[in-house]
Amino acid sequence: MAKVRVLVTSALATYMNNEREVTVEADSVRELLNKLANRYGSQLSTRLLDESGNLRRYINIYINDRNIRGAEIDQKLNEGDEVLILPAVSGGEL
Amino acid sequence: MVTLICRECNDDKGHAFVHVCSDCFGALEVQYDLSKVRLNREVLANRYPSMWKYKELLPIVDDSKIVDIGAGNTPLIRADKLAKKIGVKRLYLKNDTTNPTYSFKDRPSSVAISKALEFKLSTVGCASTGNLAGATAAHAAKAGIDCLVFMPVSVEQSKVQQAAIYGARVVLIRGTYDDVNRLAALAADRFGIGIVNVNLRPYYVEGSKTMAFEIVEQLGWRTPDRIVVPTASGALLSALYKGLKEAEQIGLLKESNAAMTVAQPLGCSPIVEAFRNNYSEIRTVTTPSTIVQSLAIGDPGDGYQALKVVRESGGSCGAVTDVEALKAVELLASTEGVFAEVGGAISIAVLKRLVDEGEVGRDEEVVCCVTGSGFKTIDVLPRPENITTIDAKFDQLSGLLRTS
Repeated sequence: MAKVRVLVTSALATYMNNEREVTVEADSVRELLNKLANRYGSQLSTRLLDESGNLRRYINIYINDRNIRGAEIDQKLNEGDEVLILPAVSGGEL
Repeated sequence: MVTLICRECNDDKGHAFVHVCSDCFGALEVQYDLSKVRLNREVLANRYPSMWKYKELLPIVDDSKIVDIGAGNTPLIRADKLAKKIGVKRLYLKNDTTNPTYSFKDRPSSVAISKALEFKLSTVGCASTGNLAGATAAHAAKAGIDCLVFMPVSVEQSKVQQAAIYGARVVLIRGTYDDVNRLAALAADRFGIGIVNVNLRPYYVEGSKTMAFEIVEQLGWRTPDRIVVPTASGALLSALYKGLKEAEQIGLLKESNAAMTVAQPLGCSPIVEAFRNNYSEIRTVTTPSTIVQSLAIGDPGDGYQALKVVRESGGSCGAVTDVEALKAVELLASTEGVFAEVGGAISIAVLKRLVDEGEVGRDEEVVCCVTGSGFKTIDVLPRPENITTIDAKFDQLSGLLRTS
């Protein structure tokens, strides 16, 4: 199973015992999110996934700097990957 | 009274230095107690002409913290020659190239840096495609606080130089704007920097509303049929609409019914794509492919809000090629004497295309927002053919004038 580093911002860390960097073993993004849910409970999981198990619209997930979309939630993870979870409304210019 | 409300769950988050809802991560928006705002047309007519004349509708709680380098109060120009070329009844240009740092970005930056002082922040910054960097840096210089701007390395050199001259630390990132935005979000979170368009965003976007207030005041307190807005993240379009609704709510406007219209470059048009194909989600453009750097945002932060505004206002969306955008720069300059950057003139190019396609009626009165000066993107313009060099001799001059 791939060991990956997960980074989150303070808003999400509130639901992760204020941990902004954690290590998780998972072979896909979906598995990673499930493991985070098991570790930190439904307060976290309901904020990441909707009732149908899809990624919420306001959550962005990056694997090694690449933004994945909801459809890619089954994306495979590799050993050493870095996963960043950010609220989507966080920038933009014009 | 100024408070932050979540656009998704409507929860009230108070007046604080936060930018996303702690419950659902939805975007936060400033809300005012409009029943207590006492503003009328006469009062406004007698105030000093500046974006701050509308301060009751801006999110500042301590007037002594206002950082003002002269943003706003830009001309609304009637453009009859251009209207004729495009084929619409009446056209106005909201010429925001005349702002202190030569783009409309001075409006939101003025508000954001003022809020940074209110929140006692020592360092501010921004993720920028160029224009915001200069505006943030200039206002930070005036405020006397440190500034750190992040831009993609591909940004036009003039914009990099401009931000640096104000004393900001400029960080160029080898990546797209969305990479820059991601790193800026981490800088905000990990180092407590006030990134104006990230963690100061709910306040920052409010400054852009002043463009809408000025448009309707300059038209004699009425809305045009349509406002065409250069769009990247969707923040400006959404802010203009919010401004019109607030002006209506406090009685400055009898009714606000402008069709809000998005203008994007074809090589990076996620909002136009979602609108035209009726997608429920906005599909990220991973690698923007356009010379219109200021609009090259593949993952628009306020995209959903912009779509909602377009649909609610009966507006439209249009995208044009880089060639069309460049032609619009030339057309705008040669017909109306306004030299805009390519991302600023795109509103003209999109209006023309939508009129040609029958999407915009020829009987409409339209305002095109012209958001930034041409000097900012001079590198991308083709070399004009009407330039001749001669020796300092009368013979050469007379020869030239006789043949032309």
